[in-house]
Amino acid sequence: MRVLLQKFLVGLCFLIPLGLSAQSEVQEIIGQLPAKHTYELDRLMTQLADTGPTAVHEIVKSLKPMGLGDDNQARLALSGLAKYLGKTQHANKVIIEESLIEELDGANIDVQFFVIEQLQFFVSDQAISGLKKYVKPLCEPVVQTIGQIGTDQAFSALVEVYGESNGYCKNAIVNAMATFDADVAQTQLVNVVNELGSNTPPIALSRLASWGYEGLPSLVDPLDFDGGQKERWILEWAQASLQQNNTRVVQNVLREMLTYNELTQVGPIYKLLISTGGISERDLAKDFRDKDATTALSIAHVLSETDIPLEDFFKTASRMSPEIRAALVSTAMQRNDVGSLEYIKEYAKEGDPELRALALEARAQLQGKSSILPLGEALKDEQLRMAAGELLLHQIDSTNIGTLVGMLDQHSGAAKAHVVRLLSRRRVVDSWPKISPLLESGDAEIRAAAFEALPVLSSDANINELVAITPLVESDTELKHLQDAFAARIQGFEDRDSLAGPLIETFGATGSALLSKVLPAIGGHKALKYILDSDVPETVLDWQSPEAIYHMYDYLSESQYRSKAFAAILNQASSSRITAEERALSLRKLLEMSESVDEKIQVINALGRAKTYSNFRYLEGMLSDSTINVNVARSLLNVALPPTGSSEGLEGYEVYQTLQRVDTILSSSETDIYTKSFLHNYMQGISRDTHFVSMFNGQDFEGWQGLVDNPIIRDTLFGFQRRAKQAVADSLMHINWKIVDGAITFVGDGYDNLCSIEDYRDFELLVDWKITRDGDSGIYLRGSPQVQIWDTSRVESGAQVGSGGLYNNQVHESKPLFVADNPVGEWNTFRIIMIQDKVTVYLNGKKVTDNTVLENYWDRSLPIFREGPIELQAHGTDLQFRNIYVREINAAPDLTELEVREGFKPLFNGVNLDGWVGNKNDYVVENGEIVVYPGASGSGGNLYTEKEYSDFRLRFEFKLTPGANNGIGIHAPLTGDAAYAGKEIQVLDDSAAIYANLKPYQYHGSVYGLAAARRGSLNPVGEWNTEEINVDGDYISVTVNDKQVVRIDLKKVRREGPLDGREHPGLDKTIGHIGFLGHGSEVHFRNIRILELNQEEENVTDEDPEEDGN
Amino acid sequence: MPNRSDRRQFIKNLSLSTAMFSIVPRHVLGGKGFTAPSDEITKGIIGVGAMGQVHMDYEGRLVAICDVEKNHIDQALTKASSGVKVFADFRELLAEQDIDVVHIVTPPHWHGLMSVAAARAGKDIWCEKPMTRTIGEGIAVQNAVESYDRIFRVNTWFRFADTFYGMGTPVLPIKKLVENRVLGWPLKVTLNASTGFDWRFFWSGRTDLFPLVVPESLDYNMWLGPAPFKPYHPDRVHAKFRGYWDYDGGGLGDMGQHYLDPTQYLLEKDDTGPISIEVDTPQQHPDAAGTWRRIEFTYEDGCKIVLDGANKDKDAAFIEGPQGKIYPGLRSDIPNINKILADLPDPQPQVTSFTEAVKSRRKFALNEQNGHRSCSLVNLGVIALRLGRNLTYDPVNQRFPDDEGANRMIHQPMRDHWQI
Repeated sequence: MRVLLQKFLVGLCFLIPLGLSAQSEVQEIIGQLPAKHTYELDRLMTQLADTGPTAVHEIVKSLKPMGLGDDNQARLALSGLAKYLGKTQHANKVIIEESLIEELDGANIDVQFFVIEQLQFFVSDQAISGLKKYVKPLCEPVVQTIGQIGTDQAFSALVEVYGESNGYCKNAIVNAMATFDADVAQTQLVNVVNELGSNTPPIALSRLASWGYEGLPSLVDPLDFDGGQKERWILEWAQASLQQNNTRVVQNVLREMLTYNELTQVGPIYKLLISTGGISERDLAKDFRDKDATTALSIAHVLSETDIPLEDFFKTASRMSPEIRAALVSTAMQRNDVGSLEYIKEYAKEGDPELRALALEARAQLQGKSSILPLGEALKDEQLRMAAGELLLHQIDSTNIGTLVGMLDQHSGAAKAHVVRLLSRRRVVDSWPKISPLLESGDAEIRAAAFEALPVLSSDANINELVAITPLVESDTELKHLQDAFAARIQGFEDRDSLAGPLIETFGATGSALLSKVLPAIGGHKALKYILDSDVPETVLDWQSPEAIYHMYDYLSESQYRSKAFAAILNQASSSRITAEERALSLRKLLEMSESVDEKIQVINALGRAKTYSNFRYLEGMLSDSTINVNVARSLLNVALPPTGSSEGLEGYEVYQTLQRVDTILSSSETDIYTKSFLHNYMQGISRDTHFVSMFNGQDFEGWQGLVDNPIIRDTLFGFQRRAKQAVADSLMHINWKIVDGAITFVGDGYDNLCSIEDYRDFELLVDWKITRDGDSGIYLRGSPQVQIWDTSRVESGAQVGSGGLYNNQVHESKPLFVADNPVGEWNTFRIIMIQDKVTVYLNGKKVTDNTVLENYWDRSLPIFREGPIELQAHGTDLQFRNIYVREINAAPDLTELEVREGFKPLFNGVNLDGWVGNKNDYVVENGEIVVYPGASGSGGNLYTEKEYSDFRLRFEFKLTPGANNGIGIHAPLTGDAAYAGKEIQVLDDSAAIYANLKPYQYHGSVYGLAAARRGSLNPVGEWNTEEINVDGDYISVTVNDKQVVRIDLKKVRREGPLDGREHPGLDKTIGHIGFLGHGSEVHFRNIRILELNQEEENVTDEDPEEDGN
Repeated sequence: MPNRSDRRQFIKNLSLSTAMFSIVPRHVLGGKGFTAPSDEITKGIIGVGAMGQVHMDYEGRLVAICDVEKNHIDQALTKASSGVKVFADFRELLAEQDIDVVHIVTPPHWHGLMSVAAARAGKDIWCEKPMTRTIGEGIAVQNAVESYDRIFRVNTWFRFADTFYGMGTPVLPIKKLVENRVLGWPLKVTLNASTGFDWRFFWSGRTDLFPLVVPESLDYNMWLGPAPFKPYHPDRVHAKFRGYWDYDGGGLGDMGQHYLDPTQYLLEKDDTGPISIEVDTPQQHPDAAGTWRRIEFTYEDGCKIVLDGANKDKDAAFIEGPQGKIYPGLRSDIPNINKILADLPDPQPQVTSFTEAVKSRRKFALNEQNGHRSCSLVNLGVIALRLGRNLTYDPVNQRFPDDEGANRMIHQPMRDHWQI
């Protein structure tokens, strides 16, 4: 009655006066699910519970039978609420339970099922009477839910409904009863057995047994259950009864059981008897001796849990089977019974090999380090050798390592070989002087073990020692070990030439026999040149490092070398020492030279490890070949998905489309289940917008045109004049350029550039290129020269610096950082990124030009043009281009024309955090936005402009997440709390319920603690807002979504004191950094631009000196 | 399976001081009890889907298979030698007396029930990971295996063999460093994409399932067994079940024990559990498992295991203590690590051949006891994810001291007549 009244009152509060708003509040909460964070879940569920029956009604109303529409948010709401109330003692808990049960009335059975299932997580006694009514239609979930309550009252309810139920439901109720404790459930379960007899659900008898119910044996006996089942119940009963001190009764039963031969649980019965002293040691020994083998085995094992002396048993066992003796050894080991050693030593000597191995292990355990010598002896025994070795390694440490080394002298043959292997496994490099002579051993096994140990143990040896070993090598296997030793020895040496040089000088005169074994392991260009010039150039196929790869292809056409060459190229192309771009290029070349399907498949599988966009598009072209398409599909997937530890995979519309094809080609076979689950999750998250666009269709010059003058002159040409010049240029283009083998090819002999019809501003360009001897070319960006391409052998022109430099730069760097070119005649890949006036170039995956200004060649007084065509330059030599893709980067903010004229500058380049300092872990650039993730809080949660600003107009857009909190610091120092040491303009979802008690000076837009903003100008959470912060001397104003929310005069604040009564030293600061001040929540910013005010003086001093020269 | 009336004739009445009861001869029921060293182990496999067919190649002579999906049986039979017995009900397979070892290769919601039943039937058990779907079932399996003296293993092996996926080193050298306290104490282990496993892309269930007709080849009622009734949809069953809480725990259920078990071994926590579990996750769907960002287990002595699902700690070591860190491939900030390793004794040898364990009746390296503890880590993570809150855990009593809702997930109700 009190509950009803209470509910009525609550109902009155929530439903009548506030009905509508409470409903919409609940709907708003449900609309925010699933909660993104646990704290958010807690907050939302508290709010939901606060609304009590309204929440329940709104949720249940929205639930739908499975398959009849999306009700996930309602399901999340109920599941979240139930789990929340499972811990939290909320004032409305009881009301919610009761209203949930009320809401069951008339609901669809699938909905009822779901509600009852969720009730399990929190319901209490109050719900029982309501739940009982639903036993008929929904017996199983209802009794399970009552069962979960677990109280006396719940159990009584089960007893009550049991009487009214039949068949299936009775079983379910017994099942639920079985989850209660003995003191509650025992009597009733006995009643159930008496009532149902042989139809009793077995769980009832299991529970009575495991509770040690004293009447169990007589209860079970007459029932028609299988005898083994009954035996197990008696055993479980006995175990439980012993804990209740009914020892004598139980012992009688157990002893009686043992008089029968036909048992399934001999061991457990003995275990109980022994543990309770229910059998004398004499009787036990007698049973062990006289009864059958199974009994003896059982006793031998059970002895492990006793302290009965084992001696008599060992004596008796000498006439018994190996398995019984093994059981005794096991027991002695488990008891750590040193007294058994003398028998165990005997067992180790002869007989069953498994018993001997076990006995040896027992010796090791029982004797510890004293077992080292016998273990060493056991190495001589072929059957014990492996086991003895493992056991030795456990006993050997720095104090007795000498003993292991000493065994080299004591042993011969296979035992000695095994000692070598153990030393190698342990990496005992000090033993090398004793092992190196064994490389010449006449015993094949010892010699093999020594060579195997060579790469591991020779790490203190110097290169010359290894060279000295070289003449000993007799087989390919030995050579492989030697080369591994070289590889291990020189790991970390960058300058291979400094190693190879002296060797060539010392041994070069003796002929190639020696060096051709050594140099492939050492590598480097000096070594390569020596081998290529030697009489055994095919040794290049043994090369261990990637620089020789392009010298291997020629051997593919020589039948005696083909398979070796193929494997060597595949191996080098798979090396982790080369970049993805290099891998893609060398494997593509290999694929083009592959003959059988098997070869193709090997290469395609390897291409899966070349994660480049061009490779993805290349592989995609082979998807329709049914002989290889499954392998192509797997490789495509490997290329597209992010590498381990990264979140950056391939994106965009074309990638998505291809991955859909991949999905259909991959079967649901076991090997693909995991990959497909990766794929599906990945596809859900990736952008399907335009990403890279192909600039070359492989067939004609669509999208390209001839070159007309330079951009400055072109700008002055109009109408007919322009069209005429273009027509001439186009016809010249068709003479000079052809498509050959699917590549754009220069076939002319003059100078001519192929120009993109489109102009590009900021972009990422991928292009493969190939030149011939003395070749010279380049890529023009925005119509201007150039990213250099040339033959590095043209030393007279300075080409030895390599391709990829900004050749025409005079002020900024014009040379690449290092040479990354492939040999002339091989393909290369450029990845060129141009943002604003800066260019980054990757050549074959290596960064050779790093964010360097591209100067304006056409008019050196001007910065580089803002946009222009991409051009492929021809310089009179043969050259080819393919795989041309471009991705336009919409980087800098979209300044309006007016803003450009006013002098606004981008404060964020849309691509990276250049110009910003501070926490770059939690502030990241995504899709042209700065996103702050929840990791950022406290003073480590801030991101500042590198530069300091005094007076300015700052404009930006921002997007909040529910309850988000951040701030814009102005006049801020790089350390300390910017809200006080500088000034902070609040950024806050001030609509969130957690901020219900905000002070006005904490509302969004407030100058924190100093001036209060007007609330209500924010767009709904999740939408973008615009904001302008104006700082002009002592005046600060903030405008949000075109509404001014605050305007203050700092003079007034200084006069009257801050609103929050705190010290604000930052009040007097007039210059400082602008920053984002993180408070542990996710916020997005974009389109950030700034106009510096009151800058006249600085502008004069800042003026570009070159302009004076004009 | 011999029928029940045949057995009746063996039943005898016993005269006892307290009661009369009947017992059946040993040769009719249960396992052979012990296997002679020279005998080849025989095995029966319950669940012969993709993974069960892999178990066919594991050690032991296959004598019986069981599945509720006829297509699985058909596929398995093409790989099996003739004479293999076929069952649709695992209880009949367990009653076969010539089977020593039962492989349980079903979805996890069956593991606990079947392991207990197999132990009672006198079989040794080779159970797929995760060992059980709830902590309560794990305790029940541990008790049954111990009171019936069975040998039990979980099908993961990284604590004693192979390199972790992605870790580039076996556990052994790390164990040497840890147990000789070269890294100091307490230790923190971070598991993420850079140290071995990427938790993000696995087994998100669908939240838009709708009822479909059960295919004729499948006994769906038996497939569900103890799990709550939900209408059939192919995504719930074969190869996809890991995405649903009723049967498994998403990616954590699938791969968790592979990584947590060797970690627990390294941290010397085989007989205990963490005292706190902290999660960073979006709210999980009541039915379908989803992705999550972080789970942090803390033990009483300060040791920590971090499952970094968001791959946030990119530079974290795999394992670190106050005196040193170990990265994948055994890279370390400790100088001369190879010299140190050469000087330290190898860890205590473990029983790593299941056949040997079965024959010698010695506990397998990964057994019901430590397996239950490492599977508890998985299940503790799952409970915290599903509840969307941090947990405090009492590893001695295996209860949550202040969270009734969490306690209700230690044992979950079982459907039909199934009970553990």
